[in-house]
Amino acid sequence: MRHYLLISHGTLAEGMKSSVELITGKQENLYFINAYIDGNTNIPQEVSKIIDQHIAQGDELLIFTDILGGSVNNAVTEFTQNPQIHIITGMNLPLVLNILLEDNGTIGADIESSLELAKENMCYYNKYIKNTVILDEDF
Amino acid sequence: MIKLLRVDHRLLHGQVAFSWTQQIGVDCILLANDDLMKDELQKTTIKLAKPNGVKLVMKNIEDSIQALNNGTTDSYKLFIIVKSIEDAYKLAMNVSAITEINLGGVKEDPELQVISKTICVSSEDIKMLKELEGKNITSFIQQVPTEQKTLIKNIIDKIS
Repeated sequence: MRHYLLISHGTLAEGMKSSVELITGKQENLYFINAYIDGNTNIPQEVSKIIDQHIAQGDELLIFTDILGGSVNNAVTEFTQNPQIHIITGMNLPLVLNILLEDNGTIGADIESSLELAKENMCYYNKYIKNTVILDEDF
Repeated sequence: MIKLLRVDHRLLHGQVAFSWTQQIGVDCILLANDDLMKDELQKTTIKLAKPNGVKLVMKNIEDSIQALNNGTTDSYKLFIIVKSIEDAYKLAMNVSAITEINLGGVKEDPELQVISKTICVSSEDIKMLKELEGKNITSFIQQVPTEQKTLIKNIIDKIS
């Protein structure tokens, strides 16, 4: 089974969960950590708690952090040594949604394709819509 | 084959594109709306929201009724979205293959009566829903597939 953990500076992680669930409905295996709200957060300890509570043998945990080089992502680096855990940084809504909805069985490939899609989703919309011509379809 | 007819004032957007098309297994979405056909920018915006692997057709109400009745849509697993209860009523009254209506979202309006978190109705809407129930066309409120259905026939007598 796949589990998903969102971690951010402040409440982005909780907000991301809220946005995801508005679109997909309630998600059972989606957790979050809002770091540094009340000063210090021991992120590795919080992550370990979630692993102990929810992650069984054979399960996979995908951790999403907010920014590469930020202290949140730095704090989870040690978990890359655990083969059950996959860390993705630079989370955004299309990325998280796509990973949640696209479970094709191979986690590495699912992550790569969702990253591609999320990158395509970021654009300068004024320019994009001006230059985009999509022909009408019919039955 | 019509898999679902949905009323959603936002037509095609993230929530619909992601959750419903996956859940009900459709290969074609028909957006039936008169105003949309006159607004190219809106049409482009909606085309960008189209999920991968699904065909997206936009037509006005009259052309939609014609296409649904003349066999051209038979080979598709079809998801029809309209903006209002009135448009759903027009389709359901003219297309015998429609047996149920999903009420997904109707814009809030101080003139309208709120019957759920996402649905507001006018007295005209209520009349139409009742008439449809009389013809065994069931309406139900359900915003996302994981949410429980609320059958209109169970609550309609409580709304005037």
